[in-house]
Amino acid sequence: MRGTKLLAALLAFAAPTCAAIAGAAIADPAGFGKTFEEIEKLAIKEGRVRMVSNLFPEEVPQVLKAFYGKYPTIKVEFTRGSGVGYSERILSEALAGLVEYDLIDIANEFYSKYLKAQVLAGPFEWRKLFPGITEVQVSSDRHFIGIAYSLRAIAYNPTLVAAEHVPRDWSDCLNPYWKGKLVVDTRPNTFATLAMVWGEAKTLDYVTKLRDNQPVWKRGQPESLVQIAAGEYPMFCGISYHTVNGALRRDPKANLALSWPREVPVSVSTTMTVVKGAKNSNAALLLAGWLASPAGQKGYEQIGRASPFAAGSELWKQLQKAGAKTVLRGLGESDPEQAITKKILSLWGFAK
Amino acid sequence: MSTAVLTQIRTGTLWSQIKSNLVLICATGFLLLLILVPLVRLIVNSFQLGHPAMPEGWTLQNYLSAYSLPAFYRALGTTIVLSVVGTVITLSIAILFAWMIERTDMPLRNLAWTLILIPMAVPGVLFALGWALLLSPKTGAINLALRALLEPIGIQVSQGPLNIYSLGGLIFLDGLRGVTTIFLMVVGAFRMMDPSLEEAARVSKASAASSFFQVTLPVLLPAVLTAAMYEFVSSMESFEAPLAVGLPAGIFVLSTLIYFTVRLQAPVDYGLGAVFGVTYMIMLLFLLWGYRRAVRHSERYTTVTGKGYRPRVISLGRWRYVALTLFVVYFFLTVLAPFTILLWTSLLPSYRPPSWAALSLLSLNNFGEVFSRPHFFGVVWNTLILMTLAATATMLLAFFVSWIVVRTKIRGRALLDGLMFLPHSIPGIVIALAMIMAYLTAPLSYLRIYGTLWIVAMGLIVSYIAFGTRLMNSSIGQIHQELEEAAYVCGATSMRTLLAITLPLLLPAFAAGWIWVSVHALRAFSIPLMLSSKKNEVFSVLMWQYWSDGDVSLAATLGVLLMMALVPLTLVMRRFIVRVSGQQS
Repeated sequence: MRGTKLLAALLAFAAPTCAAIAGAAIADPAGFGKTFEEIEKLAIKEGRVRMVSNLFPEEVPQVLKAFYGKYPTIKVEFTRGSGVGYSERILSEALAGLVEYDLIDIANEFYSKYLKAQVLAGPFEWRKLFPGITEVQVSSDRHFIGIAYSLRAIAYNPTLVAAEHVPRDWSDCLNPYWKGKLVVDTRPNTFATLAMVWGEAKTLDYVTKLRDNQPVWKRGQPESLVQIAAGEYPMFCGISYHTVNGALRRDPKANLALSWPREVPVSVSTTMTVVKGAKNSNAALLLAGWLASPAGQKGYEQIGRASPFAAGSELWKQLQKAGAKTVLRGLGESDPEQAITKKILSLWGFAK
Repeated sequence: MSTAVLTQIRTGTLWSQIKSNLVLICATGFLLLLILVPLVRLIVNSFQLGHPAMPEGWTLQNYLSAYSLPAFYRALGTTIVLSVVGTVITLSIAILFAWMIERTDMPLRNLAWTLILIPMAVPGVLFALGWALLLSPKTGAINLALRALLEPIGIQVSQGPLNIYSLGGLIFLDGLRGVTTIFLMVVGAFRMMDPSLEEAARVSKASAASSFFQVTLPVLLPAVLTAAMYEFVSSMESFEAPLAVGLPAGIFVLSTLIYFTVRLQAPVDYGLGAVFGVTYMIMLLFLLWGYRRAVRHSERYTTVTGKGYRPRVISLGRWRYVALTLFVVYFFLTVLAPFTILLWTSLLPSYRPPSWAALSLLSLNNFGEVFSRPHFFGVVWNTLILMTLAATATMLLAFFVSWIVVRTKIRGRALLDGLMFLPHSIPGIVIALAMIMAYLTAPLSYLRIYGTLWIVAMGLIVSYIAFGTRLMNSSIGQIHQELEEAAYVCGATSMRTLLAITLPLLLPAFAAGWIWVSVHALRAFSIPLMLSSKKNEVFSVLMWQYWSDGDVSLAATLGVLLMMALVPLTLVMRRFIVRVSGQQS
């Protein structure tokens, strides 16, 4: 009898405690505004946002100038970080309960991991809250918002590559003339995106031939581009336009040139998402939505990272002039990309 | 529980013993926790799928994948080749210099003794980055100079002739890197060996060379073998040069394969990384076992005798200047050349090979830029805290553990000693991986230290505790027990005796160890890199970030600043080392 009473007492104590703990886990402690106006009001109250993104530090003032004009009291604390390493690091920190950033930019390979780990706030009605955001910018789960675009091309050193050898298309990367000389990124996003139009068989055949051309495998595009500009290697097959543009902006005299192939892979990059438990959650949501909106995209246009589909933009003109066709991978297409990525890596002989 | 222990509990003596040794027990327990839990976690994770904090079930697939991966065997082969050849080169140079500096009449020997320590002030990553700029096949400054020299004699090459992005380049870097440490390991034996053996050779009309090869070297063989084993283990662990120079060339060693698997390549695979780590650790444990066996009976080969005279200085004749030239070349290769190219790069907007045209671009802008970056001073602060924390904690823990090992009769103390030496055989990259896995999962995840400076400090403590305990073991052994016994007779507790008698007597050794750990913590790379977060970034990690972001000039600027901080620290360390060795001899 005494045992039953004790058990009942324990249950009586444990049930509300468990419910409270479960409730606390579901509700967001900071609380998001329900309308744009509420979010804006709360964001101004928060007064700052800690953002990590793949922007180069010198690009930040251009991109944020208009945001500061509209919201002068919200301070953006920027940290440069991009790619696999950073995405993995932030995920591990979040799992350890360390929330150092409010708004993060993660690599597409990590979408499902972040969702599974339940370390993200949201989902959000991005397009309702921030009019002007296009469908292609929003992931199907509505946690991620595409802020900028990444276009892949071929970079070369014009002093090392004679006019007759300037690469014009992806097939030029298979030319035995470049055997053992051209640089290829071990992260095969370029070719995984091209697989959307090439199909799996052609893509795998292409990457096999590329491997057989004995490229110099590299990880870390900015670092590799320095070596191209210095004259160490003549060409990089599948580099981000943004990286080349950034290098030329920092050193306009750098020996670098870019060639647009006939099919240009375009992906929605700089995928921002708000971290669960962020100190400045509303400011983070406001900044992400604003950057993705037409007003924010103007800043990205200045650094050559806005949509290449906006007729009349500098990037659009370049692609038109080169007669290049774009291959767009939206945010909702990361799963098929991951599958082909694994196959390419396996063919190239890298771990998984 | 034995009757004796039960009796002790009943009478309260066990509790009072525990109470009086609480700090010692806690220190030992803390170290065991620090070393063993992450290693166990690493092994557990090697049988799991998914992220360590979100395991997706048990599997043997990680082992099957790892051992069927050609890249693994290539990396293993490269690691072994690099270690064997690198060790031979390092040993040859270090032994030659030890002999030249200690036993011959080479000019400027005292200065050489000081200068040979300076390479220690050049962090491995900086050394590799410097040489990447010097020996890049097309744009490397030395290659450009060599091509300019070859052209007038009709030899025209479009690149090279040297290429740092090759296995040869890695061996070159590895061969030069360890010379200072091995020199320090063997120089004492050269200084204190029994000269009568060489005298006998001389009397028998042996030349200096044959006396060296037939008498000196065989006599010093145990010390040389010990140093060789140490260097081989160090080479097996090397990470910085393989990362900076090997990875861009597609040359993997085991340490970079682990880094690539858990940090660079998508999808990241912790299970596979753990298998590589466990395999790597087991291989090095075997080597450690060999090392322990090699030094077990070292007293059999005693060459230092009680005779009160120093070995005779060997006259090199006209070769003495050749010896000096060799030393100058070594110093140029290890310090001057990398420092000069880094200084040159730090003054340019972006890297350009040295030329008259580039002279017009030189400025101090990068130094201004580095200091104006918002997180720079935070990183400096973190680095200073890490240095102090790691050095103090390592030496204090080493002191307590060594005291238990040397002074007490506690059962299992030999095991404890062996356990403290164990991390010596665990590469920094594996320690870091094990710490990630341990502190992301229960129970250690509750400490919430992942991503903080604490976890980096703990990683460094694990990494350096073997050195700390070796130093403290030998130093405590030098102090006669009767000094401590006198304190006990006066009623002092073990703790009070330790702090009031033993520690002050050990202060020079403690200080030497403290400086050694702090210098190494300042230049540490693999552990801070793997464990880095926004909160705990340190100097070497920031430098690498700049480099991998393509900001080569900013990376070089940080490198120059780092070397300017490390060189004086290293020279201070030398003063303490001299003092300690003087005291011990």
